Amino acid sequence: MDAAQLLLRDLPPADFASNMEHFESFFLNDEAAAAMRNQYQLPFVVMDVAEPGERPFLCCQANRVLDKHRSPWTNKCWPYGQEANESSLRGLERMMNEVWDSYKNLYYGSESIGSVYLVEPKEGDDNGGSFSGVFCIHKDTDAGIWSGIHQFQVGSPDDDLCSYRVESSVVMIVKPKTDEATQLTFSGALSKEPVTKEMKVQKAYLQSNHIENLGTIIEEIEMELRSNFETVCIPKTQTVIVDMQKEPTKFKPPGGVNPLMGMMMNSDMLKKRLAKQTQE
Amino acid sequence: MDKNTFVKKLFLSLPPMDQHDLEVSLDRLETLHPHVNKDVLLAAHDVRACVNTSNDNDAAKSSQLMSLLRRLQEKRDKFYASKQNVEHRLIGSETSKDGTKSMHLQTYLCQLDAPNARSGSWVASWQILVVSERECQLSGSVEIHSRYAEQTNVHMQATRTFPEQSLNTEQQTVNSKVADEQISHEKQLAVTIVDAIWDMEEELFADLQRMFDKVDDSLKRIRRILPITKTKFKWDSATSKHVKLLNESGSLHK
Repeated sequence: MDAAQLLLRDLPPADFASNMEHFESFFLNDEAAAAMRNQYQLPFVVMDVAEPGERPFLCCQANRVLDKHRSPWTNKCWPYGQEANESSLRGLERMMNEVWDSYKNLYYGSESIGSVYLVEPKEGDDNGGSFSGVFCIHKDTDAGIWSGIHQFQVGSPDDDLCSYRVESSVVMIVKPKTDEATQLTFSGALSKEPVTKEMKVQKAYLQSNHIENLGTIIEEIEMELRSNFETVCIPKTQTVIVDMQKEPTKFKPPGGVNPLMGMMMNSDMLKKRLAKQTQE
Repeated sequence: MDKNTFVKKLFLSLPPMDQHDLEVSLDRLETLHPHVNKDVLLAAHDVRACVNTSNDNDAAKSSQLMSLLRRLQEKRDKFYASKQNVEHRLIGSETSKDGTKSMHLQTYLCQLDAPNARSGSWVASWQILVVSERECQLSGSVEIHSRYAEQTNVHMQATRTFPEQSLNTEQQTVNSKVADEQISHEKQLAVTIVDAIWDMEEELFADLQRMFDKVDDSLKRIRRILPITKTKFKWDSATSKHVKLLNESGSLHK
C-alpha cells in the first residue's frame, strides 16, 4: 500500500479515480483497498436516489454502513432504503446539512452537492459534548471538478469557549475552453495543515454556535485553498512551459547614459587627453 | 485493460523527472507488481524521451531523413541554446511499404527545476508520408506535461492533434530561384517540413497562452471567489433561519 500511496502522490490528480480503481482491482487485497479508500476519499461518488424527501448526497467513510451509504436527508441507507439507527446528533446533523446547502449554493451553485455527517460518540463515553464529523462538497461540470472534504473535531465547551479542529483536503480539476483538436487540464490535490481555534459559544445556543464557528473556519480555508490554486499553483505549471518555449530575448543594454559615465566623458581633463592623442 | 498495459500507462503518465526519481518510481511499481518488466517500461520511456539506443544507427538512415534531422536539429540548437536547464533531443526513423516511404520524427523537450519544485516536458511526434521528391503529407501530435510539487501536487496536461496536411516545395523552389541558389529537392523538402512543424508548434504555444487566460473564468464557474452578494456567507442568520424552518416543520429531532 505504501508503494501505491507514493505513486499516487506523483501522478496527476485528474487520473486519480481511474488509478485507484485499477490499484484495487489488480494489486491491493481487501484490507489494503479499504485502508486506501479511507485515506483517499476524493473525488466523491454521488448517490442520487429518486425517493420522497431525498436529495443527492455524497458517499464517504463517515456515512458508510457496511456496504451501503446513509443519506443525511432521510437517515436511510441506500441501496434498499433501510432506516439507520437514530443518532443523538441527528438533529444537529440535519441543521448542519440545511445551512451547508445554503452555503454551497452561494459559492458553488445549485448543481453542486454538499453533505455533512456527524460521527456518533461511542456509547457510554463521557465525551462532555465533544463530537466529530465531516463537511463534504462536490461539483462536477464541463468547466471542471471541485471535491473537498473538511474533517472536524469539536471539543467540550469550557465556560464560554470551545475548541475546533479542522483538517481539509481538496481535489480540483479545471478544464478551460479549448478548440476541438486541443485538450487542456489543470489538476491539483491541495491540503491544509489542521487549523485549531478556540471560539466563543453560549450554552443556550450551543448547536447554532457550532454551526457558525465551524462554517466560518471552513469558509476561510476554502477561500485560501482556492486562492493558492489560482494565484500560485496554476501559474507555476504554466511558467515552466512558457520559459521553455518563449522566444529567447536578445540582450539590450539599458537605455540612457550612465550619469557617472556621462560626467567622465564630458570632463575637461578627458577631452584634453583625447585631443592630445589625436594630435599624436 | 490488463495489468501490464495499466502499469505501462501509469509509468508514462508520471510527470517529467530525473533518472533517480524515475528509478525510484520503477521500484515502487515493482513492489506493486513483482512481475513487472522494468526494461520494457524504461525502453518505452526512452523512446518517448528520444534517448538514443543501440538500434538507432545513422548510417542506416536515408539521406532524406538525415537532411530532415539535421535541419531540425540546427533550428532547435539555435533556439534552445540560451535556455538554462533545458534538454532537447530528437530521433527519426523511416519505413517503406508497397513503394511508399514514410518517416517518423519524435522531438523531446524537458526542463527539470528541482529548486523550485517544477518540471515540464513538450513531446512532439510527426509522421511524414513522402508522396514524391517535392511533396509529402504531414500529421502529428504534441503532448505537454508540467508539474508543480511544493507541498502540493498540481499538474498541467495538454495535447493537440494535427490532422494530415499536404506540403510541397513550391515556395522553397521560388525562394532558391530568387536567392539564385542551387538547392536539392531533398533539402527543399526538409526545409518545408521543418518550417511547417515549427509554425504549428509556435501556433500551439500562442494558443496555449490564450487558453491560460481563460483558466480564471473556468475556476470561477466551479467556485466563485465570493457569493453573488459580494460578501462572505452570513452563518448566523442562515443558521437562525434554518433552525426556525426545521422547528416549524417538526423535522428537527433531538
